Amino acid sequence: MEPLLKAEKVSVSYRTRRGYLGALDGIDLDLVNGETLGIVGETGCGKSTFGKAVLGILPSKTRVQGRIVFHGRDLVRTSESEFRSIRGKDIALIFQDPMTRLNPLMRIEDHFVEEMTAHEAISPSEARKRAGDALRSMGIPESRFRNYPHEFSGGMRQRIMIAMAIVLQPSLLIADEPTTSLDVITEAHILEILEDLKRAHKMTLLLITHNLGIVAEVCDRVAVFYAGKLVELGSVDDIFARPIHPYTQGLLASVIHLDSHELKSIEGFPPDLLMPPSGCRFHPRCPYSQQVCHETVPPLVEFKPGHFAACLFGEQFL
Amino acid sequence: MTMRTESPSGTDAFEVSVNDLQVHFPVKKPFIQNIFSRDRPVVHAVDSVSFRIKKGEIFGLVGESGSGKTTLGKAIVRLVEPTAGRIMLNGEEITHLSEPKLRPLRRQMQIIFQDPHASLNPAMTIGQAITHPLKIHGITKTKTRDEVKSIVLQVMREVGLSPEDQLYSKYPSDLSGGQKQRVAIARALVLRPMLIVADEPVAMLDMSIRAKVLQLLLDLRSKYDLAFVFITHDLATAKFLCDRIAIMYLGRIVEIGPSKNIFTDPKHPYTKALLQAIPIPDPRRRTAKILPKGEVPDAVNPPAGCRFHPRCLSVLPTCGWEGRDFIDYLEGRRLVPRHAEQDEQILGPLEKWSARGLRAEWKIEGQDTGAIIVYLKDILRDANLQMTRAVQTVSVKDDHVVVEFQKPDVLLQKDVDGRTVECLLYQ
Amino acid sequence: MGTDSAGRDVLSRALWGARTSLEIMAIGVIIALAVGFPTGLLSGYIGGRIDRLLVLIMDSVYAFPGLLLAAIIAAVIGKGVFNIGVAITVIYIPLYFRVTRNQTLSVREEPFVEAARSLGARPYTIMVSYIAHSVVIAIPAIFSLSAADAILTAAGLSYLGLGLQIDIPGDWGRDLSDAQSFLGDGIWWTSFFPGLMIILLTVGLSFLGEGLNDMLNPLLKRERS
Repeated sequence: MEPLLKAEKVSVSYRTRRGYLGALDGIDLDLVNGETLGIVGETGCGKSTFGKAVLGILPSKTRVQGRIVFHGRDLVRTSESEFRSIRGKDIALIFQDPMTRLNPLMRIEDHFVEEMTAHEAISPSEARKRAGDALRSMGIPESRFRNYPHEFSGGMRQRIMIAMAIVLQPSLLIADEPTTSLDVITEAHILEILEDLKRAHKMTLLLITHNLGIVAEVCDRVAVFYAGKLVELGSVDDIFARPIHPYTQGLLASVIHLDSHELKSIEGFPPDLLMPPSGCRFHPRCPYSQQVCHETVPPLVEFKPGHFAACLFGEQFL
Repeated sequence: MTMRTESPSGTDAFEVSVNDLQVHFPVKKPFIQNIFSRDRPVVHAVDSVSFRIKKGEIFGLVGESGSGKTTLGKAIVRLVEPTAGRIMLNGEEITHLSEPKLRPLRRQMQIIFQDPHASLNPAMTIGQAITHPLKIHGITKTKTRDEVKSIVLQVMREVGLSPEDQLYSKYPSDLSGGQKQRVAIARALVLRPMLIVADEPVAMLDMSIRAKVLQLLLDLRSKYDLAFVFITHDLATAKFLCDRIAIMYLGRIVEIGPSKNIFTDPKHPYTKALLQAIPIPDPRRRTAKILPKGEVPDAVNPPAGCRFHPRCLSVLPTCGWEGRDFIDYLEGRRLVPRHAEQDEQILGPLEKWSARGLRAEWKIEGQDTGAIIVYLKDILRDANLQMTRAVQTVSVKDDHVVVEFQKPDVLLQKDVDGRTVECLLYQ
Repeated sequence: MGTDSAGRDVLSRALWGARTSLEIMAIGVIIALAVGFPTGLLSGYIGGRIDRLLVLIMDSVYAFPGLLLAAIIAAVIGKGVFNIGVAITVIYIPLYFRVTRNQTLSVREEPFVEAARSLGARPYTIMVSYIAHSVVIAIPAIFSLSAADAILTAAGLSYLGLGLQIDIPGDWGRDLSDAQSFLGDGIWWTSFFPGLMIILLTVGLSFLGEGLNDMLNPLLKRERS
């Protein structure tokens, strides 16, 4: 079956004062229809950049190479005007901070109406009706439809943003750190909403986050990014139970959870992407690195069915 | 040079206690509004909080946003003025001590903030930043330049900032997040305090380096008997690190006691909810969650009685039901089209209902009050049983249709199974 | 450039005028900065009644049309380079005060300032070592822009006859005013060149201000990241 989204050798370089910064390097990633794929990684790994590349919202003067195929078209080569009809309708995005998406001067009902009438030929009253349905399904009563974004709490704004994102029934929803600024209980509510959406609309969800807990809760497969590279990809069960790549191992070990007995961390800190390490980018911090790791860029190898890792010694961790 | 002898307290005992502490802020309203309305809304950030911290203890303040934990942390070090209650440092009251008198005592209590990128002065080098506290307290006057520098270098080594001679002359913008946080710790440490308030010290750091910073805090505690007030929303970290914790909700402590007791057997419904809500990084342990509804309400008008009651799944009729809760219930009904129509017809538009303390009322404009009262009693049967039981009367009073609740029971703090809880379930 | 009514060379007067204008501008703007910056810093940091009082005073002065106020002051204190400088100072103090105060208000809430307070730093130390640095970044741009404006104001004053004494050469404004009467006779150079100098200096300073702003802002951003 054809994947919904196919990224081939995607590389993204940002233009900075000090030169081109390679945020992503040669990413090969597929998204299967109806699945929830989590992209995890820490600061500077490039996960947000990937999401932005799919949506075509990278800053101008950014170099993008490779292909991202979605519904038969290459998103890397799609023009801005073409993107305008795709965004919102076929691919939707929700961010960490809903206020970047919501216009503080516009009532929330109007947000929906504007969004819908921009993409579909429906009357404002029909749009208002559908807006009402979407808002009610998010637990927002009619008496508050005419309120402004700032009159809602953080959690409610997030729900509104989700409701807006799905109102046009996109086939792909990208969520970039959707719960990072929310409280634990509100976060759990939002995750429930995302789960329901998956079931009800058979939506494909690309979840970008640094929070491994929510990945374990919600995702089917996980892609691990490090310093702009895809270092591991597999089912959520495989990744959590038997991580292959040493970075994934280190990352999982460093998560503090209710049953933690000791504190573990990874030595050093993420590399400067203007001058990344040679060979395997993780080698300076890897407890298992050998000479060959400095010299050779490890390819992504399928060590088990559906479980890929970019490590020259992956075999040993099976 | 042994740093222990520099300890300012001089004695072996150390204790900070907080009694019925209250911190309220006035809400900033535009000037015009102040002319037209009498009431001065106030944010009830911290309300009547009491606890004690002993030497070398790691005390956790756990809560979500709006819980007041950060405000409380700042109040302890007098960055924010308490509006009532007392703060005692080694038996001396410091609640409203003037700045000149407080200054020497500040050496004993320091604070580190959440955002490592914003807590260092961009104009000062690392060396200058860590030397500054020594300057402020006159310690540089009694020592030579070299002596001062070596003290600073030693503290830098202690917190894991190396190579310290190189980093000494660097600016914050040259450092990573983890390094900046270590500088903040060094700056707090150089005065040899007995207590450090750490406000979400690792929340903005990558997961893979959090452990190192937390380990540093633990090492400092063992080495110097340093006490910490560890403020966080992350229960897992609090469980690992803290000896005792206080769970805060909307300005009050709802449960407080030894960390082990609270985590193995949480008593307060909010504590239970928090523990349940935490996502576990193990896909095999996905469970269905029973979550309290709604979100943390605003601290300007906290709910009556127990502040958690509108969301509590174990709520009782005496927990603090009030007019607002009934109106929220009506609002919830309007989400269901079938109820919405009927309600709109008989109970009118929701905007006409208002909450006044224990009452929810609607001004009559010639409607058939009899039918309304019957309808109200009817829909109350569909509502949360506990809320219905809390209703005292549904009647007509002063040309309003009124739903009035009974007065809530007074909340007390009770010692239960080795910790203290503030909940009617245990009274 | 020809000669004027008294036979003096227009070119040398125009160039000499540059020096005079710059002197006036320097006195005016530097004193305004020296007064406005510290008061803005103090007002923003301390707050309370002092702040309210200072804001009231400054806003009142600011509300006056600049040239009019300068004219009144100049008329009262008399002519002379220094006096004109003082007249101009008064108009620009509120500008520096405001900009500094606004910056101070926002920097005051930053965690690193709170950290300084928790260490026990005295208000003076905090203002000088912590806040002033962040605030000073905004000043050079404002400086150039107000300097440009000051040149115009000084020229305006002279034009109105409130400027310098007759014997000080190269007062562009007064030259312009003197030259007006000759325009009808087709003598254009006595008014053109002084006018041109005013424009050149004003525009030049404005560009300098914009440039400084552009240069310093990314610096600010980089420091914070």
